[in-house]
Amino acid sequence: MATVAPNQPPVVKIEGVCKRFGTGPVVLDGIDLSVSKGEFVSLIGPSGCGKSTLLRLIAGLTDATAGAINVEGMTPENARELMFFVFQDANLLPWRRVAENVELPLLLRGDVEEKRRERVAHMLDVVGLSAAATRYPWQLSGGMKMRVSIARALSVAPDILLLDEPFGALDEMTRDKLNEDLLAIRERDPFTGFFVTHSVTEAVFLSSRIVVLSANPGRVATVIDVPFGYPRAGELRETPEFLKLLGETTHALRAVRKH
Amino acid sequence: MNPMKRRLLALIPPALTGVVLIALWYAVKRIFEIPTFVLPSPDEILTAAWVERSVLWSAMMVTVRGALLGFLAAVGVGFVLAMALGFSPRIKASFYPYILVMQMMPVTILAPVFVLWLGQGLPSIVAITFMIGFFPVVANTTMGFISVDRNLQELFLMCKATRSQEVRYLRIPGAMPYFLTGMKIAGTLAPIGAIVGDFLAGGAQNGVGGIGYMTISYFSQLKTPALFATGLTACLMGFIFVGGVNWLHWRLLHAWHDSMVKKE
Amino acid sequence: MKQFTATFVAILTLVTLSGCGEKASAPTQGAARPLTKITLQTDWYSQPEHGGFYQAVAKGYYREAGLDVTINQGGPNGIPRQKVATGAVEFAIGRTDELVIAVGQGVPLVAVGALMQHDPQAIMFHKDSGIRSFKDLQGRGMMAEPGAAWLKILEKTMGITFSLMPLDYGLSRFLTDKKFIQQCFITNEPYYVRQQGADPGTLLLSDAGIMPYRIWYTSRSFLAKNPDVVRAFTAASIRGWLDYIDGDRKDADAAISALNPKMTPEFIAYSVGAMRENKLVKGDPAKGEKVGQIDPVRFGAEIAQLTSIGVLGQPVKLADVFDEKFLPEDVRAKPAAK
Repeated sequence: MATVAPNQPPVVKIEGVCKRFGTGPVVLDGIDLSVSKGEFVSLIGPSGCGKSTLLRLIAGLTDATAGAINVEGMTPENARELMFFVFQDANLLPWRRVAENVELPLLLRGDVEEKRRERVAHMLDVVGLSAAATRYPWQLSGGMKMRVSIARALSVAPDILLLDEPFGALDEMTRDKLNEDLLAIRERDPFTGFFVTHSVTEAVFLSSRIVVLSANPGRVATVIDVPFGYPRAGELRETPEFLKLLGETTHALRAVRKH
Repeated sequence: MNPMKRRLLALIPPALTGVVLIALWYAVKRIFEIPTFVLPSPDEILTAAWVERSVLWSAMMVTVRGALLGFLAAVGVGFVLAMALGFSPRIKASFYPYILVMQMMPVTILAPVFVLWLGQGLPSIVAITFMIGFFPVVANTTMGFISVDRNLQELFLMCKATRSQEVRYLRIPGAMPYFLTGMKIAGTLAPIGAIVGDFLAGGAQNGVGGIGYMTISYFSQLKTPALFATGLTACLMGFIFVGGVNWLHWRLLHAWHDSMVKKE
Repeated sequence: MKQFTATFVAILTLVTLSGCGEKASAPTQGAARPLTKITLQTDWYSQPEHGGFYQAVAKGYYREAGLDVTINQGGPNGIPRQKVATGAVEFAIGRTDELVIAVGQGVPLVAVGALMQHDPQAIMFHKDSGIRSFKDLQGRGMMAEPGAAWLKILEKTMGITFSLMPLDYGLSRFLTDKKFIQQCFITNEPYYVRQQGADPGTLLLSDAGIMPYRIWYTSRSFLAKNPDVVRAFTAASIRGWLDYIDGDRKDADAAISALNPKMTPEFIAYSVGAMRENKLVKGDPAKGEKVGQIDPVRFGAEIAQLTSIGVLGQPVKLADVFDEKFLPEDVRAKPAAK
């Protein structure tokens, strides 16, 4: 069962992080956040609050202008082996088939062909795309492409998974299904999750904690604890407790929007 | 039976136009009393083509050889050069202007220089064909190497890929569509380049040369029907060549690129 | 590329000009002596090898004969045979073998008189290359005019074949490659090549039994419609050539260099010297050759030679290509004495 491990040193520690692109406006100003192993943290906020930027800072895809980010005691760049990123766009290589896309991180880190094949077959099975293994990305629907992207991300069994609005372009039903699938996968192979989204429902359904950021500059406005345990079923969304928390979170978001 | 019938019916408009054009040809020749050495009739041209068929075939083979070798050189060197240029902006800034200068230089000036350095015949023809064809390959392919999707680059960063891994698995496959576009252009230019090269630097054994050479030869003998027949041969060669290159383009890309239908 | 553009421009020009003015332009009314306008198309840029015609213009011989003659320069893209055939010009300069080949392709041209009894065409090589005679040329690479009849004649009569390069009308390849061979005029290229420090040797094609005349010719229809004009032009041209070779060339040479600055007095002197030395214009008096003469026997033999090597598209008879009647009587060849 994937619960938050109490009294453990934080897996990700963000201290006083500021980010500014060149001489432009300050995108993030003094972010402090500690995340423990096994948590699932959503980052929500209005446009321009820097939630995607924060995610990319954790991933080490960009550097902080000030402050420090600590991943398992290392800098994000050094900790890359422990992490993987799921991009907004499925970001598949169009010239590679589905199976070849999933195996890419394994190929690049030097796994032998036998091991790669096994792992890819397993991952495709987990996301339910075994039948599509030989297809090309252009032959897939949006939801399927995103599942390939997730399969790829999980193929290296990362300790930390970073997802940047992965389901934003999909319709609600597909999104709900993929949310449930993601949690199911996490049950089997646990990871610490960071999730950027515009959907409050999604944030509440998936997370153990929700960080609400304000914009201009990006600051932590509120942190909301989500008391529901794991595993979570789809029906959770219709319970009164869920709807209450949904309302609270939406309220917190709206409060931030006023600025 | 229907799709077959439809395809046959589609042939009728161009076929009819062809018949009308040929009739016009004969009419013009008759009305203006144009002598054969000025404008031969289609049957005279075809007769000449038949009579000279072995010479024309050899000429086409000679020219095809030059076109093919020049084309392969243009594609090969162009690709390698593009890799170098795409690898570092500094290399690109240093060398690109000179590549442009080479491109701008008219072939008629380069040709005698090549002949001086390389000797007459195949080496010079290949060099001239190369010069004509390599710039599109370089320009397009360099573009391809540089225009890599930012997101894909980040993906490779997340995978901790080395530079050479990135080049091998991301940049080279990503540049393929651009490279193949450049290759298609070079493929269209190569037959022309080889014919021009043959004019300027070609030669003949026992009176039989390439297409360019035979053009000069027939012209100086006032064998105008044979001259036109040579033109037909050049067309044929062009079609075969371009057809081949287009097929290659389709073969390499059709699985994932050209036939890609934008869903979502 | 030049030849290709030539073909294109030629075809466009000729289609447009087909059927234009076959008859000599009508003389202006009211003038005391109405002059007939005539154009002569030469086969290259203005050079001493055209000297006799310029002399006839400069000294007024054409005027005296009732003709107003304009000389058009030719060049690498010039197409004299086609221009005469379509009536764009009345006369042009060329060789008897080219003429016969044209007639063999159905082009109706007729030779009238000869400006040179022996063609200056030769093969030029570096003396160091060790070439002594025609036999030494076998298998060599040579720059020459593709499709020229003399190549085939050498092949048939002497068994010599070449690896041929199309003429680029330049000398740079010859000067940089000691083994290079190219066709030339004995009156022209050797001079320039020596100026650049090379030591050329030449083999005159006529020594290999290739003996075209260098002629002026006209179209069959012009001949039929203006026989007097043809006769007058011929006589005046012969006069001009006699004068150019033996007399005071000053005015003709001035005209030539004015049109072609490359023609310096030294070069012209060399060229005319070569003409004299090789008896190109006047021929060999011992054989009865005269300035302007075309010997039907010799011409007939040439036609037979061309027929035997198979370069004629259709059979050509002497009467198709030549009629003695237009040469002055004293110039015509005497039948060979037994």
